[in-house]
Order: sequence, then structure tokens, then C-alpha cells
Amino acid sequence: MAFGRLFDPRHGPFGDLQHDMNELFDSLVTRYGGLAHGLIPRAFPPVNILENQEALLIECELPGVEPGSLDLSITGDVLTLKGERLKPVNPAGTTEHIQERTYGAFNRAITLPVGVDNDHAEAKFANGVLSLRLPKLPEARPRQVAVKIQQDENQAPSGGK
Amino acid sequence: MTGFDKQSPAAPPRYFLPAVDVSESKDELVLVADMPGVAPEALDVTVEGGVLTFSGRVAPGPERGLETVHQEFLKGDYFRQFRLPREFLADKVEAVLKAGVVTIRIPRDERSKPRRIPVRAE
Repeated sequence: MAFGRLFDPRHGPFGDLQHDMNELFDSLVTRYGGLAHGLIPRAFPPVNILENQEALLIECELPGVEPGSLDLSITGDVLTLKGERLKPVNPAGTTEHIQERTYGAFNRAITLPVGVDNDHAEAKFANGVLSLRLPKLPEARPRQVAVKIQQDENQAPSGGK
Repeated sequence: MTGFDKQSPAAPPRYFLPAVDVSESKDELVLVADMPGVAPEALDVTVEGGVLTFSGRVAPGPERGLETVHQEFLKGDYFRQFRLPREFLADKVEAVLKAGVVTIRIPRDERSKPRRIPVRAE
């Protein structure tokens, strides 16, 4: 993602466009017949954001990143992911035939679509995928509001004169 | 070493190609592939007819009942094949999976290493 920051696709002006572009890139079929995964340059690490009424769920692909070297923080509504993917050290005399994987330090700030309760964030790292569960602040959760509709006798539709 | 095409019967109908690094030293050939989301029991590495195949299944996540707000990656199974050069021992392949990265090592056949032929003076 070129913007570095997230737009909420439901509200941001480029959200839908960005989503469409991602779909387009992901639909590119390589000459080997499969879909490119990690072969197209984009912001690292890639992030998916899901939600239900109570919480945001953030998933992030970080293959080969040591959990201990990952610096994760939330300030206000900004989530920051910092870390480094190290290049393995090859013995002298090694010939590199293919290098498709990327290496180096990353630092990504993501604006969350709603306010979250930092104190109750849960993080899990399994098989190179980081999963974060961030409970929404009470004011960010949807509430049922009872709306009473008053029927005005004079405005009621009539069949004719 | 060349990529392999999709004609193989083992290829699933839809799959992702993992990003791969390939390097060669005097002792071995090393392939490193990013396969985030693949658990060790969901990874398959096979060698058949000189073709190395590695594939991984990604278990469905917690998407059910959740609404997607923003999406930058898709989830799916991985699959990729490489034809191994003859000078590597296809029956001695080793694979290690760590944090979504698989490292596959194939030792070089000693017999294929360059040898110095002593020359006798007569």
C-alpha cells in the first residue's frame, strides 16, 4: 500500500479504489500458474483488519520475524509495527540464484478505524502470522437506539379526493 | 535450476506462489520460502522424478462472523515446484519450518564435486 496509512474503505475517499487495486495485483497470475504471493512490492508487513461489534481483529504476515524483535505499540488510535527481517548469513562462496524474499527494517503506522482499549489488547504470533485482538472502546460499539415513529394523521397517504 | 510449470497433476486449482530465495554452496543447495500461516503438520515437501515440490495448507482464520474493514493480503494454500539439478541428492532433502519460513537443504553429491586428476610423469 503506497499511502503508508490506512483509509477506512467505508469512509475514506480512496478506500474502494485501493481495495480494487489490491485485488487487481493479487489476481495477477504468474507464468508458473500460481498467484504471486509476496512477489509484488507493497508495504511490509501486509495487514488485514476485521471487526465485529466488540473488537477489531488485526492480522499481519511476518514470516521469519522473531517475535522478540517485534516492537508493537498503540498510541491513541495509531498502531505501530516495528521490527526487522534479517537476511540469513550464507557461507563464503555461496552463489545466490534467486532472491524474491525481502529483508530489512520496517516501521509501519496504521490508523485504526475506531478507538480501542489499549489495556486489553491481546497479541498472538503463530506460524509467521501476528494476530491482534483490540477491544473497541464502549463509545465505539454500536448501540441499539429505540426510535419512535409518529404518524401524522394529516400527512397520511390517501386514495384520492 | 528452472521453475516448473502448472502442468503437474499435483497442483491445486488455485494457489499462491511463495517468494523463494535459492542459493548454492559447495556442499548444498538451499531454498528458503515464505509461507506465513502454514503449521508444520500442514507442510508437504516431496521429491519425485527430480522435481522438488513444496506445498502448504493455510487453515481458515477467524474470518467467520467478522466483517473485513481493510485487506492487504489474501489467504490460501501455497504450492511451488523446482526441477533439481542432477548433482544434488534428491533422497537426502531436509526441510525445517520456522515462523512461517521453510528452509529446504539438498546436499551435493560428492561424486559430482570437481576432482583433481593426478598426472604422472613418465
